[in-house]
Amino acid sequence: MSASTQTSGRAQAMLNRVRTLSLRNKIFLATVGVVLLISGAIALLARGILVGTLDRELELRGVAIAQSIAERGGGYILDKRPEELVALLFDVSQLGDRKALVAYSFVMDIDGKLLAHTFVRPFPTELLEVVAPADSQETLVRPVRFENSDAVDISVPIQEGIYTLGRAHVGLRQSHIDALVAKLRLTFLGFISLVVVIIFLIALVLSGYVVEPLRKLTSAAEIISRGRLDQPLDLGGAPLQPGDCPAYADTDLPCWHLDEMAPGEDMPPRTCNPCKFYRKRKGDEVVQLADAFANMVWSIRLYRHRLRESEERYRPLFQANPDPFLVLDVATRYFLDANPRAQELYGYSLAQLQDMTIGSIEPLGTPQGVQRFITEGTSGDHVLYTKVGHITRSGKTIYVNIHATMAPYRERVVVIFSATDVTDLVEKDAQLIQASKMKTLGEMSAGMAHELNQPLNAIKLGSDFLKLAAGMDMDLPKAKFQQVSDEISAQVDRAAAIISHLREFGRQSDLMPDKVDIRQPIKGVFAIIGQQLALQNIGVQLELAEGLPLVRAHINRLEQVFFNLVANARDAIQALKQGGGTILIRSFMENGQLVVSVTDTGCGIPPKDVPKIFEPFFTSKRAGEGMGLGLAISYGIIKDYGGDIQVESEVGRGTTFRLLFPPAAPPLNGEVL
Amino acid sequence: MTRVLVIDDEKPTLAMFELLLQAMGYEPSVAESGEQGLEIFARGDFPIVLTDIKMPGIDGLEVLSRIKAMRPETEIIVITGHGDVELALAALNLRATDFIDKPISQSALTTALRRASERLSRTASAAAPAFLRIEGELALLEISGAISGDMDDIAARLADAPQLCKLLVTVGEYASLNGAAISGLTSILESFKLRHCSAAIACKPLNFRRVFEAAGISALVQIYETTEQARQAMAL
Repeated sequence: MSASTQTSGRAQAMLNRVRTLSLRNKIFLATVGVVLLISGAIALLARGILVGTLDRELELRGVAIAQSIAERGGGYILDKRPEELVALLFDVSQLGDRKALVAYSFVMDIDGKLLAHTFVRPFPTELLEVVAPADSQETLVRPVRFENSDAVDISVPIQEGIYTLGRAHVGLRQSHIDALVAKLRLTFLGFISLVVVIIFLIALVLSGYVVEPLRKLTSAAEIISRGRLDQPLDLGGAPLQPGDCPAYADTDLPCWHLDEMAPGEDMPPRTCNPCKFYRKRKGDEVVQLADAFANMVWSIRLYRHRLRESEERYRPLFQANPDPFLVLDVATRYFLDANPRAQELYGYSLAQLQDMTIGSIEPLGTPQGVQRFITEGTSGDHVLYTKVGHITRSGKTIYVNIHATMAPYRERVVVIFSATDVTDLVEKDAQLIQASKMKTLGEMSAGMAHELNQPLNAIKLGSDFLKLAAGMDMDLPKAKFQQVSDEISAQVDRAAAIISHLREFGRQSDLMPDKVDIRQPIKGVFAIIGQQLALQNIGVQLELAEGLPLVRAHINRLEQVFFNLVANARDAIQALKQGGGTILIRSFMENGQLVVSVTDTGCGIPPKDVPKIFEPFFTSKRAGEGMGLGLAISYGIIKDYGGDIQVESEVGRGTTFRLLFPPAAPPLNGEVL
Repeated sequence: MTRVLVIDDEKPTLAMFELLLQAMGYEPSVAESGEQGLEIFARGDFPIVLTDIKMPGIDGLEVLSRIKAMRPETEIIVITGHGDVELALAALNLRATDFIDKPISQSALTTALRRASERLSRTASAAAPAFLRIEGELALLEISGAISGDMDDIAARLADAPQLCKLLVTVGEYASLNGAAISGLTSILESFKLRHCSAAIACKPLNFRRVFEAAGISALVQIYETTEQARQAMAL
């Protein structure tokens, strides 16, 4: 590590130490530091200026004294009156407070001979060494040392006209000068110290004043952040009484001061003006901060109260709802919540449900359902899926209508869905469809009898022929024998196929639909009814496109639907009494849906009857010929598969029924086909 | 060998018909549809025609009436579905002489063809198809041929003989009654019932017994298979 980085590291550490100081200390230290700095600077300046000035002043005084001596002493020198001179020296230099300043004074003639002096003792000779040269015309200031004491010697020439008579010397006591300087210095330092102490105290009070409310706000914020919002907070001002706020007691009432108003809306009539809680005191920034904080706390408190009220209001709706409600995490697919009704329906406790994903109750690959919604839905979507198969804890499959919605909930995206148990309805529907199928079977029986009679007839004839041949001992060629036995076998197969088809048709469908090629049930219908139509001279035209997607349905229910439509078409054609007609069945894709159209050249449906044809028990047939349930049940079946039936008809020209199916959904991820 | 025309829309049936009829000693021709049947009939000489009733296009009843229009003396046996007596009656009304049920057994076919041949020969000999005899208080109505018309004269003769209080109708093996004859017979039997007289029918052909049942005659009188049984029941 280089020296520079080491230095910068140390500086950083120092900076950090400063940073971690409390605000109060920072303010205090900064103030005191600044004052000390200024004081120091002033002191330094003052010393230079004051001490220098004092020195010069004293020097000037010394010069003045010396000049006074030189002025008045000139005459005495000329007159050679040394006593007068001594008296003058004493007079001038020892007078009043000058005595403290002036250490000595003496006068010398031009030759350096001492004429007079103020010493009461022998004149210190060392002074004479420093006073020369005496003939100088200048005022000289020189430090001298005599008798172990320092002095400043001021020597002024004594002049009379142009002649120099000698020099007057005044010795200023250095100790006195030092004492004066020391006194000045002490006084000044004392003043500076006083100022510092006062500033120190002011800084202490000021920092306390600034920091104390901040400390209170900090501790209040800490209390709030621990969730204890309802504790009274000391933020200054009168304590809040929540009950006084109309919006606090009545959550239906908006708080206009805290809720943002809808844009463009005028001030509503119900406002609290002035609001008892929204405070704005007059004061400095600290007071305003405290008020803003108090307002914030009040706002939070109000909303929390509202939230709790809302939770208290809606929780029972969730808990006591007769419909099962479940909340599912979209990201993990785990259940988050379930109401008691849901727990009862599925047979799991809430804790168990929270350990389960949706896959545990909804089999993978269910064409409609929560899992599909999770993959395809977006937040805010709402869907209804009917008759979704779910599995309860006991392994029983139940059928539920699902209302699902995607919403944010506790920081997650969830699917909230109700699952209404419609198992009974679905079973009853299945029974109704089955009953109607049995009725259809009854209607088909005449045609079936004819259809079965054909192979039986051929078999009977063929076998009787063999019997006759045997009985007559006829010489039967092998080819004929072969022909008859082949024909019999083929006809038995034909009869068996009809019977097995019938059995398949009559079988009760599984509750779960399969994927079905739509051509299969259509062809199945003509296996039953085709010959009958031919006998009634009704032509059948099938235009079934290849490679259409499969649809999710029950094959024998579809057959029932198509049988119903074809039988209706047949009846419509016969009602026209033209002795023949055509039924055209086409299958194709249109707008992403698989469409099967059944068109006949029959009597058509009067426009007034068109809206009624899917109503149960509506029939245009004579009493006893039809229950009028066929189309209603067909409609229900197609709707169950998520499809639709449309009808277009023209009286006397014919009718077209269009069956729309959603193509079977592509498999969900991970689905095993 | 008697030529027989068979009209049926079922190809396998036709093939079997052909084999069987040949084996039974007839000379069959076959037609797959009513149209073809009429064409073949017009070209050849077919004393007996077998036709299915239910066919696409021209159906059996149409074929029947057209053939009867062309050659009224042709014996036409219609083939009906099992138990389809109403169609059989409709056919009889169109002067079919007999009918057989599907599935057709060889015996039924033999009987029907034999009776047809018999009727043909009787038509040739011009014997009366129905004959009324009176034996004291018993009226004996013997039907032996094909009656294709009302029975008003017989009804009138019976009404002229109020002393009669027993009626025995015998339907012979080769007999055939059309719809008018059946309704005539029905009204005779009804009038007998109104007079509180006893009546019975002895009917040899099974299919006519079924027709009588379907026509409601069995509700009026007892139907027996043989004359002896009927006589015994009437204690004659």
